[in-house]
Parts: sequence; structure tokens; C-alpha cells
Amino acid sequence: MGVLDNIALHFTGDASRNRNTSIIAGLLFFAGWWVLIDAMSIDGKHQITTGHVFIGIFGTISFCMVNAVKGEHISDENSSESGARIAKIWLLVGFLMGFASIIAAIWVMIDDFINNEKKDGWFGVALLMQNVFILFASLVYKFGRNEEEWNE
Amino acid sequence: MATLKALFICAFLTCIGVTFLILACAVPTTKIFYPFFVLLFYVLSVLPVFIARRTTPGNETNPKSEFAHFLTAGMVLSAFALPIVLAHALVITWTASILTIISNIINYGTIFWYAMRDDEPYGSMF
Repeated sequence: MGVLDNIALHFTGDASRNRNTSIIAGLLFFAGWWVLIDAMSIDGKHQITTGHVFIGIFGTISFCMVNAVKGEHISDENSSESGARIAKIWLLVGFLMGFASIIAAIWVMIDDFINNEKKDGWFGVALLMQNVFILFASLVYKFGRNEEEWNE
Repeated sequence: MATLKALFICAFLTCIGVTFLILACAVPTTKIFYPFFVLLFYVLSVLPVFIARRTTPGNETNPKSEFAHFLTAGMVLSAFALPIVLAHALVITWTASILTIISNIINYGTIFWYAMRDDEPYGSMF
């Protein structure tokens, strides 16, 4: 079997769906942060403040929280009732933080950048793009993988 | 003999890739060595899958190996993003940025090709 066959097998063989999903999620997540890094690197007047960066940080925390819970933690098979309830609350808070980050980014973009004549609108768009990328990475990573394929 | 040939090709292509990286640092009039930081991303991109492979053989999958692929994809993207961000911020020229991207393509192509070869008796890198 040649190298090209191995490559094809790697991306289309067994367990390739989970592998491909992880790669896509990684590209989205890091692209989000690099968009912010690019915006801040050309921001000569400190238009992007620490508070704006924290929106992305909360998005990242949301990513970690959402993907810390497995499907079996919240399924009926979980015999620990309080454990399942805590896992559901954790997941709920994680999703809440993720969507709240998007809402906060939209709010900041409109109120602090677009409607502010002293600031460049592009930086607001970059903030929104960062949070959209992080949220999509979180959702892709969470729902794109098939947990039944896990060999543990 | 096949292994020796593979190692020879690997070393040769890596030297070509690093040559482009050195050109990226030296060709502009002012010598700026920030593109060399992509070497850090080369190392970081290989480590996660290498570590995960030791616990997840063959074509099996589990959350650990998937997270390794997540990090590897991120590091590969970072190696391409760094020269673009530096050029956009006018720290380096776009010529240097393009040379660094060519270096990335050659080096990651080499890594990917080596990883995708058939398993050796002791197991491949990935």
C-alpha cells in the first residue's frame, strides 16, 4: 500500500469522521484567536481593550466546559442521579456562556465600534469573527464526533 | 534500504524547507528573524499526535487522540497565520511572508508524507 493509499485511508477509513471533525474544530478555534491577534497587532490606538479580549476568553472557557461532558454523562445509563444533574447544569452553563459571548461581541461591535466615530469598525468585526469561530469550533467538536466509535 | 531512502528524502526536503525560512529572514534588507518562530509550531504540531499514538494504536480513536488532532490542526494553522499577521502588521515584508509560507508547505508536506508511510516494524511516527 502506497503513501497516497494511506492518506486516503486516513481520511476515509475507520474512525475518520471523528478525526476529520477534530481537525476542522482545531482549525476554526485557532483561526478565531489568530483573527483577534491580527486585529490587535495593527491596532495602533489601543481600540481593543482588555475587556474585549475577555469576551473571547469566556468563549474559550465555554468551549472547555461544553466538551468536558460526554454523552453518557447525561444519558439514562448514568446511574448517579446527582451526577447526571450536575453534568446537565455544567453543560447548560457552558452553552449559555458560549451564546452570551456571541451576543456580547455583537453588542460591542455595534455600540463600541460601528456607532463610535473615533474607532475603526473593522476591529469590532474582528471581535465578532473571533467569537463566531470559537463557538462554531465548540459546536463542531461537540456534535460532529461519534462517541460510539471511542475505544476506551 | 527503503528506510534509508525515506530518511534521505526526509532530510533533503527539510533542508530545502529551512532554506526558504532562512531566505525569509535574510532576503529583506533588514534582517528580521521573527519568521523563525514557526519552528516552534513545527515541534508543537508533531508532539500531540506522537504522544496520543502511544496510547491509541492503529486506526482506533478516543477523546485523547482526537484532541491531539485538534491541537495539531491548530499548530499547523498557526504556522501559516504567524507570517501573515507579521506582514499585515508591517513587521516583515510580504516577500518574507510568502517565503515562510513556502517553507511551511514544504516542511509540513515532508512531515505528512513521512507520517503517512506504511508502519515500520517499530511503528511509524504517527
